[in-house]
Amino acid sequence: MHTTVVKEIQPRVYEIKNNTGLDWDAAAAGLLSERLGEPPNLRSQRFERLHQLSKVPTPHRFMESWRRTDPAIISQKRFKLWNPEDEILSDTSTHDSDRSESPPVLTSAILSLCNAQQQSIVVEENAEDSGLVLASQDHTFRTQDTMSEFNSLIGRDIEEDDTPAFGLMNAVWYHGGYLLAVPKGSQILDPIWIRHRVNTPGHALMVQNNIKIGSESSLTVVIETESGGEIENYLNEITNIDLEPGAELSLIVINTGTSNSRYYSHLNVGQSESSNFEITWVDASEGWNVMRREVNLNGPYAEAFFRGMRIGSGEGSLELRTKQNHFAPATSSDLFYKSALFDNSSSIFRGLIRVEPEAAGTNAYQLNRNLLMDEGTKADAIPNLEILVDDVRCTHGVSTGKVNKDALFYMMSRGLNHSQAVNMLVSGFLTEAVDGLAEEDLKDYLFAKIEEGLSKFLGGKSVE
Amino acid sequence: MPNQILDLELDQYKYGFRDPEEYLYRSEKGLSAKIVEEISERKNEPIWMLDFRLKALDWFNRKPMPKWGPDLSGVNFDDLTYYIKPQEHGERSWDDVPDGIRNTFERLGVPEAERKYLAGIGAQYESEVVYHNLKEEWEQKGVIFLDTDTALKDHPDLFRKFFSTIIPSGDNKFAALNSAVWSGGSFIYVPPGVQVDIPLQTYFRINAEKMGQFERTLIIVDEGAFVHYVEGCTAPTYSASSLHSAVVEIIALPGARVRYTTIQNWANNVYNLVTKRAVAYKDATVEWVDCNLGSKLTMKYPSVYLLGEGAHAETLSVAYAGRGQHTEAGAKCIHAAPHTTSTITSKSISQYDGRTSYRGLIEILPGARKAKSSVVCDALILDPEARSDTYPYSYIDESDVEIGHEASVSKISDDQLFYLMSRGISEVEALSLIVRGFIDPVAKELPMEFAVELNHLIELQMEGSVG
Repeated sequence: MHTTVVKEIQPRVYEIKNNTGLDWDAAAAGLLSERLGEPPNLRSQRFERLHQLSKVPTPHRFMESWRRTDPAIISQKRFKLWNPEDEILSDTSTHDSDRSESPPVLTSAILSLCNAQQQSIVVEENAEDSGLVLASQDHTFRTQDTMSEFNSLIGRDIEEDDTPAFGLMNAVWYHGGYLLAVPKGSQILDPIWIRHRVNTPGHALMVQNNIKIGSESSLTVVIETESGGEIENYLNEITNIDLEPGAELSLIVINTGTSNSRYYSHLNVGQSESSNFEITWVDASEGWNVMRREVNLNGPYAEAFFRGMRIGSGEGSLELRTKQNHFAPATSSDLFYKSALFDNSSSIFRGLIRVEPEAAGTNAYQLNRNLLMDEGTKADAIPNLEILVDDVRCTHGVSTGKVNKDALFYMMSRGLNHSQAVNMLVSGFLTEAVDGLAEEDLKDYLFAKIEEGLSKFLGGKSVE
Repeated sequence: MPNQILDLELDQYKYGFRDPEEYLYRSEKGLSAKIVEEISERKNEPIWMLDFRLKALDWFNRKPMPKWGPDLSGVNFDDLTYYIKPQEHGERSWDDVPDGIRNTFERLGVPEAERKYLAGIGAQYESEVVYHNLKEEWEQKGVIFLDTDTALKDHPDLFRKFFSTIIPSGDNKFAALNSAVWSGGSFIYVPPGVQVDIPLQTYFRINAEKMGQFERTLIIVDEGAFVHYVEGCTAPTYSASSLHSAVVEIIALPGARVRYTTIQNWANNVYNLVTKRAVAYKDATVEWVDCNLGSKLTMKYPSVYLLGEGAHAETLSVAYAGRGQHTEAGAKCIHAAPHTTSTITSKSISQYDGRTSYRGLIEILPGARKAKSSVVCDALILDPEARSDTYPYSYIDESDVEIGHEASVSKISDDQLFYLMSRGISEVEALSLIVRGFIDPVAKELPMEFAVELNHLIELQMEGSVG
């Protein structure tokens, strides 16, 4: 190990028992709260949310916003809640690989989670010295007095358009998640690496993560989520992020899932003055995914960048819903999302740039490009703009099509065979999306992930 | 007694066959089966049309108001008058017309006599004479160009074959309303191979307060034929708190080409909620040229269903929203056949506290291989209080396609203004030049006199915006 281990919490030994699951009721909310050792205010917040949940409509396919992704897939009727007390899956293979496979770069800390429960944690000494707080919620309340850091974030209300139901469900029944805080003025150079393996066969798992970056601090966080197993499972994850003035956060998200994974994820970022948020993602899930990614540029000069790419395969579907909310002057945001779709996979992009009257001097961009590689693939795009002030520069663009035959011809005339040429074009297409990432080592890692994701489609792929 | 204050003209294109005596009728305020029956009876319609109207009324009552999009809470269906035969009266003198509109007329160079004619009583259509001049020529070629009511009487079979086949009465709340109380509109039939190379034109006007105008237009262009229909509002109209809810259906049979041009300049208290839809069969082309300058609220999404291989749709749209206006203009193209193509170009300008929205849909159905679609939406925002929205939906169920969408929103850059002003052009002129350049891709597609008018209108709307 290249890091100095200052603290290692031994993984618990889990046993597989019968999966009875919990019902979607107040008793389960209480049990989950108790298990995390939550203070009474957070527990009563869960009950409040439960009450709110009973008042909101159940999302269904006839809502325009759910027209292309069927929310019935993650209906409460189809899943019971995962019961963390009784039936934690002992997924030793994953657990072993977590420990054996080191991240490809130097890290400041590594946190491994399985079904929202902490498996192991390693924090490098100088990161801890600079005040880094990293823990899973199932340990935090008992072992650390870090509550004050997260008071403003835990259980925070998230505005969710016409379907607040999924966010409320999470707020009522979350099992845990991680807490990450960096105090004011800390420069943590090496990334934090978080690995989360989720497999709750036939059950639903609600996860809530909270990240807070103090003023003038900077941090890179890599989050690898791997979900699904042999039986359908549902992960509902909410990540709240707060950036104080001048804070910088670069988030690298790698998502892989089997065809049985059902993943609803909501990332909600609040940004103060001059803060900088970047998210770079590589998604290769074959399952059902809805990803909401929302930045609120609340302070002047705040900047947000979204860069992402997706390799769609199997029957995989991913609906990406982004919001770039500009509330303050001279803010900027940029979104660049590419997907290459194979087999019968589909992509839906719903983006919104909203510029409030106060946000003069805003620049906001949105670009989505989709490559349809196979007959059965589909891509929808709904990139919306709502501009309430004149002093702006906003653009969006979408393109959807097949591999450019001229480019293919050109490359083949230079001696490449068909599949080499296609491979080169597709990987070139996708890597462009993450090219803006500053950290070279991490970029190489993402490129490798892309190549790995594409490798199964190489050879014999015909693009007519 | 409130209905007594209402005097209106229903639809504006008057032809010789209308007897002024018959214009002296006005239905009661509000909407009921009785009123629908009355309208039908007065029009001496066949029973199937009465049935159609009553079914549509049922749809209207059952359909909810749209929950999406602009605020429709200002529409009060009970306070509207749904059917009024134009009446000769002098009470709405030119002096009643707001300065803005009167000024517009002057700046447009409409002669004094014409202006009186327009603002005054009875016959609202100066375009009638023009059409009469051309009428014989059309008739000889077998072209039918009538108001929709007359077409129902004179060509019952042709009418019934196509009427409401594109927009069923239950399509949406406003189409249902139109279907129940429709009156007037244009009916055009162009026989195979006939090229009507001079535009056909109809001019619509609302004159009364709290009036609902529900014209119904049906255009059938037979194989290989061509027609260009211009709908105006080519000069401003005046009304108060009125509703204009038209239904326009276009059928472009194989190889046909239709261009439908609208220059909409309603007064700023008209709700303009129209349903316009076309179908294009094999190798047919449908073009919507849609200029929306007036109205309090416009919701208009001209659609083309590309049903035959090789069909093409083109939408060119200019939208302007000034004080208190919300102009939501969009376009829809549904590709239901292989090798179909569509392009949408939308230009919008919002000023003062005006709001423009583009809401569009591109849908590629399974099997529409090699479909191509390109959408470009550009918006100019001229004031800090103004607002611009873009809501482009695309649902693509076919992989062998090429789809592109682009949009941009910005103000007029200081660099551009500075450049022009440094060459001795005043700020107002510079602004107007830039705006004219901005809408040029659409304006250049208009017949010259309309392009000139469009530029004049935009200039007028923007007057006083600087300094």
